[in-house]
Parts: sequence; C-alpha cells; structure tokens
Amino acid sequence: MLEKFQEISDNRHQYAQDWKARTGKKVFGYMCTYAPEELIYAAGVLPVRVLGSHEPQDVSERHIYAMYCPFCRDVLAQGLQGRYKYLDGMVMGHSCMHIKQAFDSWVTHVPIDYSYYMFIPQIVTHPKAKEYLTHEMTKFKENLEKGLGVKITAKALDNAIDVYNTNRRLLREIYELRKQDPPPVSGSECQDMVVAGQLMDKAEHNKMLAEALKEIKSRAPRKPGKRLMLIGGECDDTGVAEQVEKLGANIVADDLCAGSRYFWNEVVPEKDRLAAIAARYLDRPACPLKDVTSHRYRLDHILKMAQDFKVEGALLVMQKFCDPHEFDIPVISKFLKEHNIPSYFIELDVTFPEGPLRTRTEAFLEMLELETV
Amino acid sequence: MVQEAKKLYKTKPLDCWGWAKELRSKHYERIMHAKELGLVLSSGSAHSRVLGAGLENHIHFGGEPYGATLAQFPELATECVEATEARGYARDLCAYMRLYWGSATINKTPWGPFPKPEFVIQSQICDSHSKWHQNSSELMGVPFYTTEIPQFYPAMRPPDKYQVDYAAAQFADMVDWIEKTTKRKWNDQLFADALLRLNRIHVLWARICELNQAVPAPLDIKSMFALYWPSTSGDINEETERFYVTLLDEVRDRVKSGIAALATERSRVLHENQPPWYALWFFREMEKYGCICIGGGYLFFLGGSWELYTDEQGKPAMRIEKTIEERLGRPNTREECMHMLSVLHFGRYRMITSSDAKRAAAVAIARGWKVNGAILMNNRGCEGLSLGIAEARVGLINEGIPTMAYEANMADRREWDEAQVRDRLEAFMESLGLKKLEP
Ligand code: SF4
Ligand code: SF4
Repeated sequence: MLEKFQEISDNRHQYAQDWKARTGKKVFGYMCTYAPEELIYAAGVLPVRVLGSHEPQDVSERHIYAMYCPFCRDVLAQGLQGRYKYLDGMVMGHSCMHIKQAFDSWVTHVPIDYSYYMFIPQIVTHPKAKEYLTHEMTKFKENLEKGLGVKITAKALDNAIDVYNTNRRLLREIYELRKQDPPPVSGSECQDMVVAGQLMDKAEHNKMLAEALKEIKSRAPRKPGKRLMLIGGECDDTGVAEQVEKLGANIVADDLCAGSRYFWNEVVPEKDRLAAIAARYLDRPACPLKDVTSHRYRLDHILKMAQDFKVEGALLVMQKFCDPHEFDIPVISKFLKEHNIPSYFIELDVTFPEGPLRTRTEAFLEMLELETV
Repeated sequence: MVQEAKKLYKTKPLDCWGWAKELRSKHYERIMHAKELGLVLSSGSAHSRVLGAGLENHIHFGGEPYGATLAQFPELATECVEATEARGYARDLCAYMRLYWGSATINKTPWGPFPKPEFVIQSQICDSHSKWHQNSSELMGVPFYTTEIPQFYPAMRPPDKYQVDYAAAQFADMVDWIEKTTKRKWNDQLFADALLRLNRIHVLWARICELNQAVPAPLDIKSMFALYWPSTSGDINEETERFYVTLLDEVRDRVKSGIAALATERSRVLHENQPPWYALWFFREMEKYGCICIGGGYLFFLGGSWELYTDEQGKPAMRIEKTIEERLGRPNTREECMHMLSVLHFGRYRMITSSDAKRAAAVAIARGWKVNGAILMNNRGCEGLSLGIAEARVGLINEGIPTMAYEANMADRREWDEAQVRDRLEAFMESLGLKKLEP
C-alpha cells in the first residue's frame, strides 16, 4: 500500500490529468504551502503543488538569477518546458521572494487562464494579522468566483475544511506512531505520504491514508537506530530521508514544508469560515519568514517536537542559496546544541549529492554513537 | 583600437559634489558621538530612519549605507564578513548585513567602536530586512520591533484600502512600542514635518534624475551615487533639503547651458542594480568609449518618488509623483501620519518587492532616458534587488535594447572578477559600435 504514495508522486502529471478527465473539473497549480488550498478545493478545483523535478535544466536562467534557490528555478523550468500544460490556473501564497519570482515569470511567460497572488502576513503573531488575512481570503474567494464563474458556498467551504482537516488528522496519527521506539514506519515513507498529498485530491488521499494507517499499525517495528529529525527548507526529494535511513538511522520527525509544517495544525471551525482558514495559516508551524519578531517561536515548536519524538540528532537541510533558511539554520543549530541535540547540515541542489551525503551522515551517526557511549 | 576623442560638449565639475560628501561625514560623525551629543540612536535599514522621527533629537544608523561605506575599507570589510561567516552564516546572504553584523561582532568601524543603538526598528520590504535586524538585536542585546508592508501582484495595481490600513496600524503600534521602550514622548508634529520633508527630498531627487534625460546628460552615475546618498540614507533635516534644492538648480543650469558630465558623450547606457561599491571605476571605464551611464531603476527609485504607469502606446512609463502634501494635505493626527507613512511605503518600494515593476521600470527608463544599451549587475550579495533583474533584462531585450549582464557583489570584493568584468565591458562597448577614445 505504502508504495502507492511514491507511485503517485512519480506520476503526478498523469494523476492530475486523469483526475481532470474523470471529474471534468479544473486543476490549479500552487506555489508554496501558504496558498490556502481549502478555498481552491471549495471552488471545485484540484490544487496541486508544483514541486521539484530534480532534473538539471537551462531554461530558467533567462528569467531567474542563478543565485536564487535551485527549487524556484526548477519550478519555473517545468512551466517553461510545458510540463504543466494541463493547469487551468496558478496561485501563490506569499512566502519568499525567490518563489515569488518563479510565480511572476510563470504567469508572464507560460500561457495560463487564471492566476492569483495572495499576500500572507509575515508577522503572523501581530494582533491584526488574522483580520488582515481574512480580508485577503475574502478577496481571493471573490476573485475565484469571478474567474471561474462559480459560487463558493458555505457548504462547499465546510466540506473543504472537513476534507482537509481529516487529511491533517490522519497524517498526524501516522506521525504519532513514530514516537514508538523503534518506529513502525520510516521517515521516507512518511514523506512520500505528505508529498503525494500535495499532489492529490485530499478525499482520495484520505482513503489511502486510512488504509496506510491500518497497515502501519499491524506492522513489526523497524530495526532500532538513532532517532533523527529533519529540519529545514524545501526538501521534497524523499531520497534524502531514504539514503539516511539506509545507513541504519530512523527519521522520526521533521519540520519541513514537504513534511509536518504542511499539515500539523487544523482549521478550528468558527462562524466566519474564512477567518477560521486565515487563523490556520497564521498558526501553522512557521517557515523562517513567518518568524521575524523578537521572540523566535519557531524554536519553541522545533524543540517541543524534538522532545516529544525523543530525537537524538537533527539533520538541517536546505536548498542552496535559500536566504530564508540560511538565516535560521545557524540559530537552530546553536539552539539545539544548547539542548544537547547535535545537528549537521546538508545543502541541497536540484539533485542531492548522494556520495557526500552518505559519508557525512555516516560520520554524524558515528559521532552520535560515541556520544551515547 | 582607439579613436580620436572629439570633445563634443563643454563640461565642468559639480559645485554640490563636496557638499554631498560633507553631509555624509557629518551624519556618521553624529552617529559615532550620539551619546555625547545627547541623541537617541536607533538602527535598522536606511529606509526605516523615518520610523523614529517622532522622537526629539533622534538619529538613525542605517544598515545598508553603512555596509556600502564599509565595503570601501578592504581590510576591515574582510575582517567583518569573516566574523559573520565564523558564526555560521552563509556567504550568499545580504552583503551589507554580513558587514554590519561582523562590524558589531568585532566592535569595530572605520571610525572607532561600533555605535550600539538604543533600539532597532524595521519595516519589512525585502525579505531579508526583518531577519537581518531580528538577529542584530539579539547580537547587540537591544530591543527590536518590526513592521511589514503587504505585497501585491501585479505591482502596477494600487494597494487596496485594507492593505494601506494594515500597514498604518502596524506603524501606530510601533509608535506605542517606541514610547514604551525608550520612555520618551513621541511628537506627532515633529514626525509629520520629517515625513513631509523626506517626501519633498524624494521628489527633488526624482526631478534631478529626470533632468538626466537631456542630451548631453548633465550627470554621470558615479557622481549620482554620491548625490543620492542623503536622500536614501542621510539625516532628514533642513540642510539635506536645501542641498537638493541647490543641486536641482545647479543641474537645471547645466542642462540649460549644455554642460555635460562627459564631454565626449556619444552613447548612453543605463545600469540596473547597486554598483560594486569598491570598484566604481567601472563607470569611468565606459566613459573612455564616450559612453555615459545615465542612472537606472535602483538609483532613481530608491531615493526618488516616481509613479510607474502604462502610456497610450501600452508601454511602461514613469513620471514624478506630486508631493504627498499636495496629494493628501498635511497630516494632523497620529492616525493621519501613519496613514501617510503607509501610502508612501507602498508607492516607493515596489521596485524591490516586484519583478514586474522592475521590468517595467527598466523599459520606462530605457525609453525616457534615450539609452543605447543597458548594463545589469547580477548581484551575489542582495536577494532583494536580484528579484526581477533577469526579467528586466528580458523586458529590455524585447524592446530591442542591447544588454550586458555581469556578476558581482555590491559589498563583498572577494567576489569581484575584475578581468572578466573588464572583458565583458569592452566587448559590450564594441557591440554598441564604440571604440576606446584617445585620452
Ligand atoms: S523558502 Fe527557500 S527553498 Fe523555498 S522558495 Fe524560498 S528560497 Fe527557495
Ligand atoms: S534589498 Fe538587498 S541590500 Fe537590501 S536588505 Fe535586501 S538583500 Fe540586503
């Protein structure tokens, strides 16, 4: 069952096009997990995240400066190469300038019927942020209705919230099982589930998750190994976790946008559905650019997760040239050290360097082993 | 190949140039002696200097201009960036920031110990801004407050009322925070004066830049980088405003009398992005070909007040904005002040937050300032101004403007490949049909 998630990621274009043919509905791409998918889903459209293809390319150079992160360049390249011709729209929820550049270049140079950029406050803890984001949600809803010629009803919103919350709950249930020592499920399997979820109709994903949950519960635990956590930026290549786990470690938790940050918190229902959705995006585990004030609450979240999942070491992963994570990684590394959690750093490019990753992870695991002795 | 240099125009040095330099030295002098002078010293980005202007005797230590200045002291600059790197920060992060942090870490500036501010205030435009000063405040152990300006797309569209109100509300909260943190009273009238004055300065700078549309150009970019400094980074006071009024008169006279910045002007280019501050000779080099650099989006917009619009031919164009006082009148209450501050932020910083605005501005400048070519710097040290830089080039190419791109870092000379940049420039000049003129 669990391999199915990876199959869907590998065949993401096929999945989306089949879905479109099957349902007769539209498919929108979105950039960054801050795009409020619930609204798109409530409009009867399938939102799919544009993730990395992890293939070298030379078409985005003309549009994006080479010192922007490889991820945003990879995203744009796929649009320019015509791999997403089936998309009916493109949406962005603001996270960082790099991906905003990919969005601008995409909507400028790739023919697309509908596009929408939405600002998500960066000072998410500001007392007026919720009211402001609710306004942005209202504008987006109106724009979607106009662009698609549909009415997004309260019932459709309730359904979308319900489907998405179920999805989040199921994924959290699966993550909870990783607290066991050793865990019954690997980090790469978990990430496959999350990544597939970013590409699928959540109602279908939920069914698969429910089955997967049953399967995992009845499984024997994995071999014991050092309990690691993945922390950092865009890392949708589950091969990283797979490589690390091949060396005998168990990845038991993560703070990634292609991981727990995507689903950790639910929409808490309130009368004003859009306000409820807004609150969810503000309260979710933050990326570095949503943690910009004098209290770094991202650290609190990471530490709690590390403690809850009994993490023994952390791998700090980041796309090359990713300014947002370059700001946080030295701080996180120091903070974890102060809490007796050693960490080491992996820089990702379009493809990740398997050989050095193996050597360095081995050295890190040996170091952890020695610390235990 | 060289060609005989025919002097086509008369030229003479700028009277105001020394004054611009003096304004800068006085500014740093006051910062270094803030305590003795009884000044309240804040820090943050240069554009945030107006945020504290409601405090009596306030002065602001702007991070970016300090980074640009420090870049011109090679040994100290290297010591500073290395100090930041030793703390685990990547070499491709904002170079001004790495210099600033490093200087604070080793407690050295070109003029003495690092001037520790009383507090740090910031408004977030570039993504690096808040993260920069979140870290600065931790490094220096001083309080920090940040605000943000909602971004929107496409950038040519005006912000809606909600967006303006949201930013204004944050600025109002910031004033409360400043009063509480510094235990000093905020003076709304003082703030209104500074805000209106700063805006007038920005309009004056835009007018000066507009005069450079003349052929021959009265100003060259290298001098303009000294002249724009007070408007982007200097003290917001009567002398700074007087400086720009005087400079505007002087540049007007130059245009009227046909006085050129470059006697041999026969070709014009624009330059987009910050310059490599430690290698401004680059702009003198092109002058040896009779090519004058008339400015560019970064230089015009950062210190100037412009409106980008689409003209009757459907092409991007720009015009000088009316002063905010002409548009909205004088603000009387705090609420009106904060609203005005918000409106001004939205108008001025699109160039940093929007790729589409940068593309449009590059095309508008190429058309308005009659350039024959464009030079764009791919800046390894600034994510903010790298936004849209490649798209600006695409926009220019689509308009049939020849372009040259070169890679550098505005403030970290370790990333400067002089031979390569010289070669590129030479090839570009030749592609514009220019040959080196005899001295
Ligand atoms: S957060 Fe980092 S990895 Fe993600 S788009 Fe921005 S720069 Fe790239
Ligand atoms: S715009 Fe450039 S110089 Fe300014 S803070 Fe951003 S990265 Fe630094």
